[in-house]
Amino acid sequence: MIVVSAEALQPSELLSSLEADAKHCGAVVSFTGKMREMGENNTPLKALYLEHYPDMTERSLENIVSRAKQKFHVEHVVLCHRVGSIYPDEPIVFVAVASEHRKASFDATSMIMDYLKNEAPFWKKEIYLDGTECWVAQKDTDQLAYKTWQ
Amino acid sequence: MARVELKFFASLRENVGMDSHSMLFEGSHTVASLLTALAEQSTQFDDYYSDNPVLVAVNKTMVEHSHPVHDQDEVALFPPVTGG
Repeated sequence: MIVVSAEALQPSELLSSLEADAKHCGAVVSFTGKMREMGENNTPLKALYLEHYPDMTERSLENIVSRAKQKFHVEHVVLCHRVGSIYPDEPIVFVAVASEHRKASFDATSMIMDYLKNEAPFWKKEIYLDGTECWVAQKDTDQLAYKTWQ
Repeated sequence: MARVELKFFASLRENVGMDSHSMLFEGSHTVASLLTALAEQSTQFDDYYSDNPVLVAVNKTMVEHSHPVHDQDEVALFPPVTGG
């Protein structure tokens, strides 16, 4: 399941849905990325704005999930991402993978996040408590993590 | 004469001051030569492109700057992505 949503994500419901579909699997790994209270420059945040490129976003996420499934031989993947205005402590992204044994689920979850942060057309803007705004720059560590899978 | 639809996102969209723009050109083009032509037409794009990396998707697939551009292509220009 792949979802791009302007509505709040519900990680526990998404996880239950995956587990219901993967009863024969011995391992389930999930990751929830949440909005922090502080911005990149340690300034308190009011909100994040997530811009994306409709259609290409869904296509990109499908492509990433497809490659992870192929690489780690996993069948069951849920990948959901918020867009629009997001507030502190709300989930931004949710990934869950079920597999026969744990290593495939851990690795697929990690690869999906590293690919998403380098390929999926989302852009974060930080909106601070004082009303100022700043687009977030891509981190070198995200690019390095991506290259480890190449 | 060929026509492509340019789309701009995030900080690039704000800097050029538009969401999209139709661009006409003659002859064959790559993404790189299209960006050079755009920089000659738009001071705002030139200023941004001089200082910032610009990623490109043609028809919603990320491509290198050596990728060819054809009539009716949708060419999206944007900064490095920051989702997750």
